[in-house]
Amino acid sequence: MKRTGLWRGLTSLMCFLLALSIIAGNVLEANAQTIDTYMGTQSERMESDGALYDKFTPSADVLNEDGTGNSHALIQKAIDLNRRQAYEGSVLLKNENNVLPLASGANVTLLGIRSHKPVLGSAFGVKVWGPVINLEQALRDNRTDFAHTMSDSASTNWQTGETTIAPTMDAWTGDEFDFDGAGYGVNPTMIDVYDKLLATYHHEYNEGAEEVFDPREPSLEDLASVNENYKDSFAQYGDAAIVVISRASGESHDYLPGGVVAGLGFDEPLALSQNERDAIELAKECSDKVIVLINSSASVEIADLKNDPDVDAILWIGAPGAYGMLGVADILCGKVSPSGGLFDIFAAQNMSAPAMQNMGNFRYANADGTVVRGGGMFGGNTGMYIMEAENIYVGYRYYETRYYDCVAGQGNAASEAGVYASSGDWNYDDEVAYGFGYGLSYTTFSFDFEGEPEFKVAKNANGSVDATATFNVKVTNTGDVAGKTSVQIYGQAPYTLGGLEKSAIQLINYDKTQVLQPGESEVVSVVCDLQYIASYDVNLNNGEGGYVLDPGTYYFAVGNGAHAALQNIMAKQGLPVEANAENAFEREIDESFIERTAFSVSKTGEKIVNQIPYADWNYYQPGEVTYLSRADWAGTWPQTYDKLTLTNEQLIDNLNGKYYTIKTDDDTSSIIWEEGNGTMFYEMWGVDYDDPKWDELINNMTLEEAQYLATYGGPSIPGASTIGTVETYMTENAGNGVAVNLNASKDTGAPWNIATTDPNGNWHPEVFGNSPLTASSFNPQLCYDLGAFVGEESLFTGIPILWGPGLNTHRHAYNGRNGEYYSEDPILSGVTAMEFAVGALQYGLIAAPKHYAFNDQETNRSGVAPYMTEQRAREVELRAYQYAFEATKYDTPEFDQGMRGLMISFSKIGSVECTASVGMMTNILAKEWGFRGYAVTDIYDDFDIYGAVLTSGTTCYDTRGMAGFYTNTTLDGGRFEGQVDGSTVNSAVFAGDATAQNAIKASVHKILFAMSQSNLMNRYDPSTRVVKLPVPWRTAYQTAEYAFGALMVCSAVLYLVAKLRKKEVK
Amino acid sequence: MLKKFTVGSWFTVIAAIAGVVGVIFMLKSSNIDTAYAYKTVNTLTLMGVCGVVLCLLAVWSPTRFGNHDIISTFGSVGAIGLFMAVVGTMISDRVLMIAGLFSYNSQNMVGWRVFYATVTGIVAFVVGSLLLILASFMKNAKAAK
Repeated sequence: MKRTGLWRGLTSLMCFLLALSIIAGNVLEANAQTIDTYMGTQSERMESDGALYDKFTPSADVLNEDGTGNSHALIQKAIDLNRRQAYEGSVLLKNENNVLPLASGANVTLLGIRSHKPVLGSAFGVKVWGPVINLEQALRDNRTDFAHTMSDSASTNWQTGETTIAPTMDAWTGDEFDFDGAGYGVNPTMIDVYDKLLATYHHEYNEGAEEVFDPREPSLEDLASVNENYKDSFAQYGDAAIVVISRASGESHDYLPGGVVAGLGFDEPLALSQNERDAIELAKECSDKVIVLINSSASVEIADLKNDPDVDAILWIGAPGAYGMLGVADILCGKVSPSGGLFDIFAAQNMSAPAMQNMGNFRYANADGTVVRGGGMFGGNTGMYIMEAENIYVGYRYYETRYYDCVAGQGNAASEAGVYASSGDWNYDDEVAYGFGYGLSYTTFSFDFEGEPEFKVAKNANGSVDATATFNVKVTNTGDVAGKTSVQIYGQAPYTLGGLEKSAIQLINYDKTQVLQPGESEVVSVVCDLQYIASYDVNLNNGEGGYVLDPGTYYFAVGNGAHAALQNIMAKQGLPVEANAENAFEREIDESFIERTAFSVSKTGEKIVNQIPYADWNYYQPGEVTYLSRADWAGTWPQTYDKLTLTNEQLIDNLNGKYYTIKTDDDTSSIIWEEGNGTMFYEMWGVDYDDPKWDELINNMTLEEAQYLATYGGPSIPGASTIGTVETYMTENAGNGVAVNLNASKDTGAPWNIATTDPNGNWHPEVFGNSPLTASSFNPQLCYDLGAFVGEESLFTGIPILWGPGLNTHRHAYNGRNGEYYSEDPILSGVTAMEFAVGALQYGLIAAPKHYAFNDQETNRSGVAPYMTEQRAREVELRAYQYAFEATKYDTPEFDQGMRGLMISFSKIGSVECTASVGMMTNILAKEWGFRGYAVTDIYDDFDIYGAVLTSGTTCYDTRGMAGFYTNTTLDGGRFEGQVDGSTVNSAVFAGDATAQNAIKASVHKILFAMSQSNLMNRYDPSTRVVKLPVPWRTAYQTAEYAFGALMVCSAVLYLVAKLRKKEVK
Repeated sequence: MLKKFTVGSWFTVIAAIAGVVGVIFMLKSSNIDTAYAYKTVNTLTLMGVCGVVLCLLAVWSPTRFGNHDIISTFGSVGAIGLFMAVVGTMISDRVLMIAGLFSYNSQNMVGWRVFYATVTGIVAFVVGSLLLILASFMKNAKAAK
């Protein structure tokens, strides 16, 4: 080869390699923080000259004496708390002949492949990470075997159909931990059989819902094919047979009606397949004590098991998390008496819920060509909808109200409409297996009202009314063993046939006793806010809308779940039921006690009126949808609305995202930017939201800085040099722990930082059980403690904002996301989330409950339009958020607790995106509930309606993966291409829009206020800055750039020299 | 001119064709959905087309000025630089979407169409660049007999 050719070729090669290096460098830098999270590297660090970390510190029990972090103690604390979550949350549904508890020393056989690989977390969402304690170990062992018990997860690619199974962590080389297990002998033969069958029937500790479901339970022939003599082992391990039935939950997929693999002997995914029923029959062969564990975040159809005399015990255990099987073992062996109550009603057949008539895939008949808005970065479906025609009758509210009307003989309740499990007319006992809030114990309790409930009404200066009823309930342990129980207070508002829809029973508040010894009593005071028994009337004041507390007789009751409480009320009313009328209380409430519309003024003094009329399909196209009414159960039983046609222009415009057009010619001269008054962010610690100092601070910013902050909501959040903030990785998932390894902390300057060399450094804090398990504990203190511990995790991982917990209510059992949301009941959900968030804030963690609101199914979640009445919206989904966000339990005359974070739903409310709904984001959230904090969209949602989103009250976008602001990532970088209103997003887009500029100011105020109350303030003083660190990937690409650049230049020069010499020779 | 073509010349011609394919698929991936449009699509198109023109220049120039001439060298190196600049922009714009497709957002069928168009475009540009590199080591015109 001639030299010119050689140098010329090398020049081209080096040019190519240089280009590759530059590309790699740009991509790596733009995603540096994400890479750090997954690789455990730290590419930049906040540094300061001053002494910091004086505002929030972890508790002493997770620190060494010198203040450094103790990873072993932290993990031990997580194990203990997860164990407590499981034994407080698990629900004993059946216990014939006191088969449970089963004493230590028993030899048991575990049956069902899920006994060997139970569901501990979700495939995506609240996944359980790292090593775990499985059921066998919890029952048999006394020490963890983390090195050999790694959680795993499956991921199915929709495009390719390929399913991959991978451990959540490569290996565990850290500490092992001692524990006191149940002390059982566990049949090793069946463990071996199921272990071998996992190769065929793959299962993981983290799984999700499937639209065409197969429980992948081996047949008895499969068991015999592995070991034909497996039954021989039953004789030695026949003290009890424990069968595990599992249903998983996870993000992005639902179960669907009829969505099962054919030929497995079942029609619905939450019913038991033939092989699962065979496993239970096998258990009967194995032992005369048959115990079934329901390992699911959804209500599995177990009416047959309830009625099967050979099934002795049923224990619901949820998805218990990494170490929760210890709590399950505690219950089985009797170390702890179960005390949980069901988070949802368990219907005999889930399809009997009226919501199931309209669940799944529905597309407007004329969507093509009518709904023309694009799908957005997330690829959503803009032409999809669901009709929530069940109205307020969600979950137990439907079954219990219909039961009441059946007994009362009104509203055609006993008709055949909606019959699934009954023979002939609708019958509660046939349709329902176990009611909401129900749960058994190993002991018994008596409940007695201690004196008259105390009703208080006080009018506040802002026009709002505080009205409470305090029920003092004396709980006595009347059994033989120690135990605790929840005290659930339910209420019934007076209903007039054909009048405003009202549930016959609703939970108002609850609390839980301490552990009571046999014969011991405790008086539990439950304070109920009467606004949660008020009803929302959209027609109040000639269609203005508002809450009403109709004059009449109100009933309150305590009971083991909603059904028992309702029956107690019915007994009080003289209806023909067998119940304890003494556990019910009636009270006349009229205008002499409280004004009928008193609750139409919010706690903040805001007048409450209709805010989301477009939620109702009939608002734009009247008379086309009939919502379920208890006035006529038969005549209004929901039809399936599967072919709705769009005709109203405003409705179509809404669906096409035409909410707001950015203005260009407003006079914005009065809006102050770049004031230069010297106020800096580090000074804002402890400054009240309404303090004028916030205006001073924000006035210093440039409009561009404010826009960056209001646009990029995390995980990396931009800095603003005018107020002394720096770009920081601040937010992460999820409700079951902070999704950052200990040794990948974003705050390595903290005194308690866990070094990368720590043997437990790769412990991942997402370890807790799914949300229904927490809710089922009916224990506010446990929820607070979980939040507080996750708050401590945030200090160790350097994450001040948590995108969680999930706070949507369960519309039905088939929502794949139910495992991330607490319950079908708004009060149970709201209390649990409030306690979690307030607990987290103790350690400076801003919890951002999600997904506000109406994420009622994962199917078409990005873009689906759920239609409902505003009454339904306010009394169910929004009430859960209201309870948590008002957080009145923690208010004092001087201090308004509230929430500091929120994540918004992908879904719409009616035809309007939740992110762009001024009614949702400003009028309800901010004005009615007083929310002051960070409110972020879900990932990449609604990028095409930038102006509408940022003027609605939404404070910022979830822009996961984006970093390097002002350089690699800019406002005009192309992420916000294709705006519906034709605008071009850049730093000048709001230059002529006063509304938008003021909205941006308000957003920045809320974001910075939230940050100022978080543990981020541990890191701020006047000298705070960011330094880039020489991580391997940065060193590699920079070295490559320099090397290939130099070689390219050298090659080019040598080529030219050779070329010139050749010319001279010629 | 064809009579003077060598293997290197044909490699360069194929590189130009690959560049055209790359531009077409880059445009296709930008036009599947407005949410996935390249904001700098005009610039990217111009760069791609310029890269193709430089390839053609690198084919023609040696037939007139002889092997390893400066113009063809400039054309090859320039085309590689332009092709790779387009590739870099495509990757930067698509990395979040691709990360989603392989994790939480695999059901984004529009995204998958964009992904396949993007990958096809990137592969075409990279193949073109590699062919240009190979061609640069070779003779690009037969010597006159």
